[in-house]
Amino acid sequence: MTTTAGDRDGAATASSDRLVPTPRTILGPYFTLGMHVRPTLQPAGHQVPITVSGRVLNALGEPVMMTMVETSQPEGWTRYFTGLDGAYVITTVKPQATPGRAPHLLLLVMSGNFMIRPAVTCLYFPDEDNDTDELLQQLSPEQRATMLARRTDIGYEFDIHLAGDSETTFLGWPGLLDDEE
Amino acid sequence: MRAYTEPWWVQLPEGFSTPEFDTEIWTPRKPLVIVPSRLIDSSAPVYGYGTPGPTDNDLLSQHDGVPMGEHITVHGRVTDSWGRPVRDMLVEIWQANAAGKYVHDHDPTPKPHDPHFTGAGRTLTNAHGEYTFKTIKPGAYPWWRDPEAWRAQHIHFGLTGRGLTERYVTQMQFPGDPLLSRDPVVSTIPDAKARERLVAELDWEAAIPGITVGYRFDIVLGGVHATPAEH
Ligand SMILES: [Fe+2]
Repeated sequence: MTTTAGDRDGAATASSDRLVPTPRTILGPYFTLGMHVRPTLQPAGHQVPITVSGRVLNALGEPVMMTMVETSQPEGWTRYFTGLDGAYVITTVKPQATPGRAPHLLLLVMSGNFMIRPAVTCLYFPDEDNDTDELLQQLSPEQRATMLARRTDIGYEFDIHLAGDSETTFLGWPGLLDDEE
Repeated sequence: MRAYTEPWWVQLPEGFSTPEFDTEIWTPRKPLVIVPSRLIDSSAPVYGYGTPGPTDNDLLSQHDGVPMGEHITVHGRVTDSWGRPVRDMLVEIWQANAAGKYVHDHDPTPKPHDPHFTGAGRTLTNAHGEYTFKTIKPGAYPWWRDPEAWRAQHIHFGLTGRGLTERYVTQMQFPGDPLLSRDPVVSTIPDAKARERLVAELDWEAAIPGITVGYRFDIVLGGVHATPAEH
């Protein structure tokens, strides 16, 4: 995977020797200068091109600008930044289903001014069989509803509610915060 | 749990807060739904597109002329919290020019641009988790929300691993910078020891004699890998 065994000075050998993580900071207002590459996914073979568009909204339903929206799927990744209107457009291909999982996009959203880590969710498609998805089965119907895109004439629509009554369900994993206590 | 890891947002300390910096409406409030790591694994090759070119890490040579300012070499090693190097990590940096001005439409600072400096660099960590950039020491700049607060000299780092969930954003500060205590972003980190981990160290071994001053900035990724056994 991404790491090899520690082989240099400072490498820890036991969990009691865990290194203290570098603090996370915000992206700030100028991150599009450095994280400027915006990959999209183009269809290959039988892959179906799709667009997913929507807005990033705050608790008052106002657009959130300067926000990074990224997706990951078995076929690759995409990145987009919202402007003043809070809108994003993901150009990608329909993800394939995998054992136990309905087709979905892993979606990361990180607003430039307030967040020090991305909020992570999964986006599901209304025209797929989502009933047997292992992740969705762990969620309440209300939580599931916030992760389902809408079909439109031109693709799919998915608003990301960072906060408020319709807040999107955001996901974590064991150990996410463990070494940042 | 410290405030700044709770878990997405920053809360500004007293004295830096402004009314519009009301994180209540901007950041998630509901508890995270914790699911097994395998259900949100994102092992797609995230750096395949836009892989950095061989000179993308030399911000001194991106234009015809030489940029203004103190020329520096910045290098370091990216590890997880077990000290294991993280290789093939996309490291993207962005920074102000020597005058404290960004090449960005939103930068309101009344300072000059440097026609020979953009302030953006990209590279991949090598097999030892190491990265290197050549750049200039950026200028400090007033914080756009409060002109009495200053952003100390810093370089932003955005790191992307093979899985998108390894996304890590931090920034490198400079040792001995008197503005560190006036910096609202650094001040969101309540623990002094933790703040020090953002500060690079002067490193003569990384310097290019007569050309650059060297700085070393090692990055330890937290909260990314649940256990060593998962690799
Ligand atoms: Fe900055």
